[in-house]
Amino acid sequence: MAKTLNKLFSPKAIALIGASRDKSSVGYGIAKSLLKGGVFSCKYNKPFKGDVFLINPNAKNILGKRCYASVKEIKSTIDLAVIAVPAKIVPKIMQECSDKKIKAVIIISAGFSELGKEGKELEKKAISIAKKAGIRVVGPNCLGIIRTSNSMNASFAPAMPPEGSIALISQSGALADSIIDWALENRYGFSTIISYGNKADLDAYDFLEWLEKDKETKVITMYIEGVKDGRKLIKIAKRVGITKPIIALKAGKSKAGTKAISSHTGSLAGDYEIYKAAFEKAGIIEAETVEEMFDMAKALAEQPPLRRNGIAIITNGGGVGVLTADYCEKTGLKLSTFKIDTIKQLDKSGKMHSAYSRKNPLDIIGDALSERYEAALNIVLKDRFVHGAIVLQTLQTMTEPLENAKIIIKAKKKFPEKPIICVYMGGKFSSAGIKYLEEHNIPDYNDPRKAARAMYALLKRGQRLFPVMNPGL
Amino acid sequence: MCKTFVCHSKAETIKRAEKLGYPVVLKVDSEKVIHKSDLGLVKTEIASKEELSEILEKFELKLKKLGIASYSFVVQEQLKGTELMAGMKRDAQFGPVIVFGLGGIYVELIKDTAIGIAPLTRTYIERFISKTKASKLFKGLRGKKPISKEAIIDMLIGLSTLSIKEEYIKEIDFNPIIADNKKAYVADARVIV
Repeated sequence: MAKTLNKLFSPKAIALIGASRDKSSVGYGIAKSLLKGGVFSCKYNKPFKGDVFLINPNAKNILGKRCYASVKEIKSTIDLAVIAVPAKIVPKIMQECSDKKIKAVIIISAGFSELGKEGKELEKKAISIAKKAGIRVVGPNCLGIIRTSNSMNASFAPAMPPEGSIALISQSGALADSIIDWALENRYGFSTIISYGNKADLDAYDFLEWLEKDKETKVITMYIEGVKDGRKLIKIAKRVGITKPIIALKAGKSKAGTKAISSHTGSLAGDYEIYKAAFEKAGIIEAETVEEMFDMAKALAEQPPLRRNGIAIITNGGGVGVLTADYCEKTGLKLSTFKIDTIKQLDKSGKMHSAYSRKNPLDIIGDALSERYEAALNIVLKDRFVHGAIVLQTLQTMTEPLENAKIIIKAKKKFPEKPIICVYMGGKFSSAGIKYLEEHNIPDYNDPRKAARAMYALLKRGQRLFPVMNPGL
Repeated sequence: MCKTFVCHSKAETIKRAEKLGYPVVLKVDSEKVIHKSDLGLVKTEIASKEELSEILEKFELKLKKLGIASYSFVVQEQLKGTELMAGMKRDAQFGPVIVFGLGGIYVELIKDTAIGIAPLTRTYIERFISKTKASKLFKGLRGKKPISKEAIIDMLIGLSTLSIKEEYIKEIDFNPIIADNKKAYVADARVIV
């Protein structure tokens, strides 16, 4: 399996069948994506590192590149074919790919099983040709695949996302598009983006299996509506999840109960409830929203797991401290009770305000300068009941966002096993600090709820990796 | 399963009830009836022969009105304990899934259920059933004796084994299960094939 998919993710030569001159067509979009990196101008766009061949029997050249009438005209080896021709002729094209000994194909074209009986037949025909030839197929009816490490944008996504360690497996192509646009604004980096459409051949778990061994990927995110073989998903995710955290967002939550079902069990175990149970069994972390999926992914990519359920909240604002504590409780995170010695050390540090809270959440008061943050972080993170921390900063006249960020990075180095997540609440005047945090791999969120959910993902990871430390879970 | 007799006449029903000893539960079993309680075709805590005869008459009348001709009477021992439920649904993608939670007639209203995907192990069952509010009953609540967790786990394992083996079964409802500190009995079951 993994070997065949290497041709799909790391091809040396790609043929685009159905390249087009028409700027409003998918065939043009993919041609430009392969040759330039994307249609929209973006600093991450780079041409594909290998060879690109364009196929169009009616054109001499497109975007300054020679066109071939068929893949069979190309003399050199082709690893991956991207098909963007009308559904009707896809089986014929698949046969040509088979003759050319191509082993990986992405069918972008729509008009297959999603469109009724006739489409279903076409899909079956194309897949059976592929099966005979040992070709693995992505799609049909999908956006395509993006790999940042070899600058491969084999899709009609608008642009390349920044390079990073998150992989996205998405059943929806349009959602993947929007995520790329959004990632560009929010600096979320991707190793791989896969849109797999009708999953006529390759399904989510096949990609999971390949990503398990992919050096570029640290965290796997999945948007799924449904899979063909649920048991296979559990089996593979269970195994892959040992090396890489998997986060999933399931669509179609409201369907349950709308069908007429005769037994209580039937109505209580709706489609979404079953997926939820499957995620639990497989050790997949479930995200509630698209944004949350990437908030979690970021934390999982950059921070160690939370080994036990017990964190500290350090804040220079009482209100946001309480708010964060509320979100922690709601998501199932526990606040550690500090050791008496920890409070004593804080008292003795000479850095605390006389009205500081002396308990968790540790409110170090609005006038806290960075040296007070430093004392608090060092003393609290030393506490053996504290396994991680959410550090909050609200902006007061004397607050030092950048200095605080530097201190947090220093503390992180001292306690590498304890995850730290920041909430710099603010915007314009906090941005230098936020930038520094992010450059040094400390996730920062503008809202305490996001931070709590990201820490929860780290807890789930901890429970997965250290079950002995988390009995009864 | 609790002591249950399927009877084909009023006389047989009374005979069986006498043997079981009062109080008893009387139900109507018919292919045409899925939710017996909804039609008023279940009566619990029947205390005497006289009461039973009276209810048998009533049920007969009701069935006649509903136009149901083929049916039998089911008489069961009256159990005391907490009402729980368990069930199985064969999912197209995931195979047999097992449901556990609070039981009784309000089961779909209360929706205190957790789902496990077969095959089940004891540790896995403990983990997923701990998500229900019903799991608090395993420790005893408000001065009541705790419900036997072991008996419930045994039952769920049985349900899982059965559903893996017998692929023609589509859905199973055990509702209610009457459980106490020693045992758990299925008081009513429905199997859809």
